[in-house]
Amino acid sequence: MSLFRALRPALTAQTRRLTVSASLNSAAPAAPLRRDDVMAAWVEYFDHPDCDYYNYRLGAQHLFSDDLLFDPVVYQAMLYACRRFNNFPAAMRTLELIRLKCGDREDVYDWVMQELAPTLEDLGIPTVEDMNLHIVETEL
Amino acid sequence: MKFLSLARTIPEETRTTPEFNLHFYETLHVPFPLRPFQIGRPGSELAAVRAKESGDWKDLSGAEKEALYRGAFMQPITEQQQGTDMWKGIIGAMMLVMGSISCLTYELHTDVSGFKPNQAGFWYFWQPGWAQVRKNIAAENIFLEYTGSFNQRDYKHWDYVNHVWKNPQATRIDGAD
Repeated sequence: MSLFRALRPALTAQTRRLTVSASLNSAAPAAPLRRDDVMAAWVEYFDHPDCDYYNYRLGAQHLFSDDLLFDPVVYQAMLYACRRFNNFPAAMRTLELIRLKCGDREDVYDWVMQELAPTLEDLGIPTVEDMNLHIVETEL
Repeated sequence: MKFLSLARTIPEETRTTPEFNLHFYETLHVPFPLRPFQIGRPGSELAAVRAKESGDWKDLSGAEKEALYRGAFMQPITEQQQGTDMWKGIIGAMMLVMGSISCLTYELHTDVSGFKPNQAGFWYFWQPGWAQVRKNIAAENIFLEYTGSFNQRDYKHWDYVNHVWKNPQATRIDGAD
């Protein structure tokens, strides 16, 4: 194949191949990702062995800036990623942000914590209420 | 109660510890700061706990977990969501300004314009005595017809027959009110 390329005559100014940008501009837009594909992609992102705290920050900021509660599988992958780079406070902050994301929906928060209970038990992470991070002493 | 605080103030005992990290920045928009709140210099307790963090987290005691969290973050999310009392300061300043302007307006109306209490207002201005005031205001219109070298006569918009503006809503060039 490479030999065939070498035997081909040199291209002149008149006969020019389409550039990459032109073909991308004329290509049809990609199909939107399905919800399961999004979750699987995020799980793959956090399960990747090269994922360190910097990548975790990037992904977590993307996730928690979105007005959406992801499947607990994604949060599970995040907690295991925290375990992999040995950052316990990041796991606690993740749980706090899940609590913030649930807002006033306590039933949703209870369900998410229920789904994550085996993970927390496996990794030895307490919940936000166990560490009293949900209580604030007002200063007067 | 901080009425005019624009930023969160860090208590002095926290600021003066050698573990305090000047490059720390944490907000609700950036909940995962890159640098920890306390440095954990080699040989300190925090460094020892962070070394223990590499092992099983079930071996960490509650106090150690608390120390790890406090060493990494300054305030929990719930504390960051708190508001300040700044609105009280703003409304107070607004009331001070409005009060001072009211005093000034009263002084101007009584001492400069000569309005007396219960002797001013849209109905009262049509009593005898106020007609002279209106004549004085109308007399200023002479400046629009006076043919002095300095006068910018707006002949296009001034009605020289009836001595009024042709279109009262039009802008006057002499700048009077």
